[in-house]
Amino acid sequence: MERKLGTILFLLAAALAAPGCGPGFGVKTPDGFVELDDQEEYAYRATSAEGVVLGVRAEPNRPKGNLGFWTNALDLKLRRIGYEAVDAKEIKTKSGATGKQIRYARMIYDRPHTYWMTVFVTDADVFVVEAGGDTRDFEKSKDAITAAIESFKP
Amino acid sequence: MKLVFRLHGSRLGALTSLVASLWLAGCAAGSAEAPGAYYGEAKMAESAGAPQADSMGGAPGAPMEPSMAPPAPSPMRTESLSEEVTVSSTGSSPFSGDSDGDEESMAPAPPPAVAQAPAARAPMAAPPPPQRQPATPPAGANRPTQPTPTGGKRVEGPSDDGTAKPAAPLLIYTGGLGMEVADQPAIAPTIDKIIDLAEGMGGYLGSRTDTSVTIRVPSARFRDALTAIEKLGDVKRRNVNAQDVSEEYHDLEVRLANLKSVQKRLQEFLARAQNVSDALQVERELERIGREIDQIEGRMRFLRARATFSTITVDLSPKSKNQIVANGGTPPPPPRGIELPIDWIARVGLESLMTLR
Repeated sequence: MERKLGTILFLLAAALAAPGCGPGFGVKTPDGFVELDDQEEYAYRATSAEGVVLGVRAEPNRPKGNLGFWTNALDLKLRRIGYEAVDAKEIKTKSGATGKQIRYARMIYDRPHTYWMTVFVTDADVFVVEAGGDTRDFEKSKDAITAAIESFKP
Repeated sequence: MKLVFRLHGSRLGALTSLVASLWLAGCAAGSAEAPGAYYGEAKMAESAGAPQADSMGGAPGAPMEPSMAPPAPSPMRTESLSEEVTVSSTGSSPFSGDSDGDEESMAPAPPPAVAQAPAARAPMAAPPPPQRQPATPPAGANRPTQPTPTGGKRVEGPSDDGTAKPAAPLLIYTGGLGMEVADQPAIAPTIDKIIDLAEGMGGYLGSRTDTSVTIRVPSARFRDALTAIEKLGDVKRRNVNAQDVSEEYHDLEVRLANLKSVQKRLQEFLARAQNVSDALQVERELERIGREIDQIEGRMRFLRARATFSTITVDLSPKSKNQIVANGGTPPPPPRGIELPIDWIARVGLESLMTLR
């Protein structure tokens, strides 16, 4: 009887865990932001009322590369299409994960915009945490976004 | 003669005077047929301020007694000159018909009238004077005895009364800009901004393609508009042209006034037409003049519209990648001949991030 109950509990736990079998990560929604549902391209996306957006891409680490490879690949791609890198630094989250953050400036419709790209790499996945918006609005949400990135758990 | 001597024997001197007068009159009549001498006299008389020198019967330099002095200027002659100027500006005379009713009023003009015409004709009255001029008004015609207010000389003379002021120049401004924007997707939004800018200044969209836009802005805001547009991208080419159409516009004004004057007079003649033939001829002329007036008014409207609103054409193109790197202030990336076969990398960036769904 006990064996049968154990099997049932195991199956129940497996069923509950099935939807979470994709790339797992955790991030805290910044203060003043709302999380958006059903984001196809993004594993997570949240926006402020002013249109500052925080998003997380979770892609398979294939071809398998390290943090340097993925960071360089993304940086080159962005610079080619007009992004201007203004800062780059290492990021260490509260969970102990290490990533690389590059901050860009870009003009869109004659307005200055800010774009932060933070890359985390695990054996299985590449996580790209993107944050961006009109620079004037972004500055107001900068601290909340920084806190959200530091809360990221790959 | 004996009878004369019997009647006026004591007045031999008077007889001598009479004979001399008759002889002089004969000389004057003979010399009037010499055009050269006559024209010279007419010009001299005109320059001396005698408006009706054509009425003088004496040859230049011929002795004249006080009793043979030229008659006082006739107001009727003044009017006939005015008519000539007005009519000749249209290129044809309404009096050129052969109707009997006009024959009376169209005695062949004496040479002085023709000789004086160029001085009275305005620059726009290009066509040559007609062969037959209304030298004298029709018998019994109740014509005004002074020049009509719309006479050609009055209208066309730029400073007849000395009070004419130079009109402000009528300028048509045209501007062209060639600009580069960040990339291809930025072209359409930039065009939208240019259109918004034009409408904000009281202008409107002229035309638009994928990479260019033509707007019309009030001429008073022409420079402001150019300055504002130049801020929307990197200006690579700029040209501004100002076309002065003042002279053309003024010419059109003069022609219009003359034509309207002729039109009015023709309408008067039409009302007084004696027979159907005359009426038809005048109506044909009225129709032709009406068409000409419409054309001139249309051209004037066009010129005014072009001068009121200036035209700015903006051609947009994306910056080359080399320029983006050079202007970016960051070290240029190493040349890469291949794209990584990883699709999602191409989608990373603000465009995807900020497109919420």
